[in-house]
Amino acid sequence: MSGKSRTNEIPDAVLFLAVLLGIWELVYRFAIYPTYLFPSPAMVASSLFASINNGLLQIGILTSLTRLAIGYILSIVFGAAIGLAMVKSAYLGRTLRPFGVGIQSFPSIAWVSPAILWFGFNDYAMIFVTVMGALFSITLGTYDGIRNTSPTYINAARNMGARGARLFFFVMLPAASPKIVSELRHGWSFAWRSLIGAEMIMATLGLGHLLMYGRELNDLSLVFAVMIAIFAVGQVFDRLLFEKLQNKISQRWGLSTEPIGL
Amino acid sequence: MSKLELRGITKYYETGNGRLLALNNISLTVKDGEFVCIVGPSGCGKTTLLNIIAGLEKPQEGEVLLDGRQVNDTSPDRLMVFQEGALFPWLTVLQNVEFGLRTAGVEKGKRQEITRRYLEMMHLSKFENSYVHQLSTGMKQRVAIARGLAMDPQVLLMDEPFAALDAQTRDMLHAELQNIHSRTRKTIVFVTHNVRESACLADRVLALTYRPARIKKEFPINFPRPRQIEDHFVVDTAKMIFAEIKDEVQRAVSEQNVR
Repeated sequence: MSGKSRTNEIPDAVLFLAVLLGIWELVYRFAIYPTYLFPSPAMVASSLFASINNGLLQIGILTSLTRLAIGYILSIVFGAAIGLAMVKSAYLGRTLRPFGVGIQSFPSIAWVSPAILWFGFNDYAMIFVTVMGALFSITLGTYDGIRNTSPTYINAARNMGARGARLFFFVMLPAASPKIVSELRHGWSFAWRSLIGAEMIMATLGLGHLLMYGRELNDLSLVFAVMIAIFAVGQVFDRLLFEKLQNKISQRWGLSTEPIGL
Repeated sequence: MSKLELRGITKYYETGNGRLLALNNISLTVKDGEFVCIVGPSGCGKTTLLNIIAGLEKPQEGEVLLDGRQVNDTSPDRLMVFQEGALFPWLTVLQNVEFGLRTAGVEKGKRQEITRRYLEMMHLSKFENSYVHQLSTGMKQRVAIARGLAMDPQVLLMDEPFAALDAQTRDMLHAELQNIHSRTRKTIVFVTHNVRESACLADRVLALTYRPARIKKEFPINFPRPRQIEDHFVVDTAKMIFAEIKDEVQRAVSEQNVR
């Protein structure tokens, strides 16, 4: 079932991209906008290859991914710790949950100002902004996932002798895993957005910095090439890691067997 | 001789409009190898009683004794088969059944041997690598029973395990459960609202009153096994039991409508 929709998905995606490129090329051909404001697909592609050839893009991606990895891992560590503290303490759960929901819709780019004042124009500041973007969705995922675990699972496991760490790692955590993985996925995309935003303002290497660099040179082809790279990196992790993980859990649990299309 | 004994179990809940007495001074004794059914109207506190025996809930008064010793916490010696199975969807059938054995630290070879034996007994060998959602409701309950038996409990507690099944599957599982009971001589406490099911399965049926639950009457059932749910002595005994709890059922229905 899922195999069939997989094979359909690739031609769908190809067709979609072909149409998109076609419209783009067409708008360019009609010369509605001057070339420096609206480059053609071919110009963007050559910019993309040029920035790969001179290594600019690889360095940008590597720098951004390093920051992202550090920020994301910190978010998981602190997010899980806060989430578990909220599970343990009813008071923390009651008070922090609404706060966390609120701060999730808060634009994390706003943390750039305090971050610069606290840490200066450096990696620490950018990692801080990244963490603030992802932290609360992981916190809430952990908390809600464990809190909503059916008490019957816990009763059954306790009845069979499971206590403490065994109960937590072999029952509560796997029972919460669909919710936790879905929030890890959200957290990852929040972290990615926050980081690119922070890099655009604080500008010391990275893909966000490269975007601003392209703007300063008035090189819109480069800007689009970097945007494509940002999109691609996001997709690679989202599709190859998180979607696969979620599908695996869904299939095991019988939640849904159909992956969502493009 | 007595395997399980309850002494003066009283359980109440504090609610918005005062105290709700669920179980009122319940005492009973279950012999080793005996199959006891507890019947009563829905919401009368049967599940609460079973949870107390399992150690999953605490009564305000009274005590539970297993082999003459008082028990407090929950433990695999009183193993519960839950109404909806309570199987873990992240594990395969085999992993579900061996969960308790793993927790108890039984080594792998021994664990799989025990697990496979009970899977075979419940005709599930072909499905040991399936996940829970791939099974029918009847198969899920068979896994839950296999999981309970694999722990080799002193007492097997069953909370309406067949309530969600269609009639054919239920008949089949009635036969299997009787077969298992006669082979293993497990002490079983089985809770149901289905009077005929209780008459079909039990050595002794205890009829409960509705809120607070007390034991209203006991019915020893000595007909030979295997029994079937449409056997005339099962039907007649069920009529007798139902006559005894009819008022309670009516009271349950009218009080639950008022709420």
